[in-house]
Amino acid sequence: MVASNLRSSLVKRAEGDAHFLASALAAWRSARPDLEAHVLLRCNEDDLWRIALAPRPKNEHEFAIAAKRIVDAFSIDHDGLISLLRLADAVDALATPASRSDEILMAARDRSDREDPGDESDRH
Amino acid sequence: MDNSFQSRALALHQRLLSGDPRAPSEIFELFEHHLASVVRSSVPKLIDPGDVNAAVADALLRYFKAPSDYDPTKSTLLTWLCNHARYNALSQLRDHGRRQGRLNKVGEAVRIGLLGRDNAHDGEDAFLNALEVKQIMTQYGADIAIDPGDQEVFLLIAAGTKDEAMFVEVLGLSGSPSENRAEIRRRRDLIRKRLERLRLKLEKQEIGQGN
Repeated sequence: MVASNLRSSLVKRAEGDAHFLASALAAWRSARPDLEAHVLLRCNEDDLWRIALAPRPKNEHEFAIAAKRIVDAFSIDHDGLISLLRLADAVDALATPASRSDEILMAARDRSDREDPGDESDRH
Repeated sequence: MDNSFQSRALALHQRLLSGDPRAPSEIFELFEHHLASVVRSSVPKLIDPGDVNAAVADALLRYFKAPSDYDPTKSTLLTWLCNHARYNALSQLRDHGRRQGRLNKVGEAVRIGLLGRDNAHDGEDAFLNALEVKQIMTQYGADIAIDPGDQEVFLLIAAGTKDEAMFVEVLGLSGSPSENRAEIRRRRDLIRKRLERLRLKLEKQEIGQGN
């Protein structure tokens, strides 16, 4: 009981830290309550806490490598993870001051690209 | 902690350093029971039971974010994490003192709680609780904490911490082990002397009020 409380506390606190994937999972839950993260990622719900503690890939040149490493480590769905991360990035960007409007546009464009079934450019 | 436990911890530490996404959850599983019980037993009355989880969680998250901060040559990973978790628990007092209320005999707390332990009292009752520390620092912090790091040293003393690594951490010491030990002793003695002066001052005040 204590252990599960500790684990819950750990994940909850990680949700408030953009370093961890927990923050992206929380953003997904908030924005897409209709589709549960473990369904999107095609994994066991009980394993989500492990994924939550992994480092969250940043919108930098190593994004694709970091995302693939997570996919391989947890045997989760690649496209599902990319969708989750892009949405979380967009949510984060929208929450930032207007001075960072360029990032908002980039995030929105990424999401738009992803939703175009003919464009696979940002998936790998 | 035996060698095999530390060996497992070091193997996971290396995986964390290399960016293995599964390492954080496996490290948590290795340490979860140890960390919570150590913090609970070493800071028995200082914080609410639920706050132990927050203190441990923050220590782990900090480690997951910056694993290279841990130096395996200085301590075991469990000791290092425990130190941070205990320090987090103590810091909660400073950041958001709560459970205000019933304690009103600060002088008594100083004498019985803090100075009493230095006179060879040991065990759970030797530690100050949250109310005592909070109230002492609120009313007498200026008498106790003068230089940078004094408040942290006081908190560690109040919690009964004897681990040198924690003092090294809060004081930012970078000397040799013997130099650090000497500096820690000097800083602890300074705090104790100020507390002793405070105790005498409070006694005089009580005598004055009694007359």
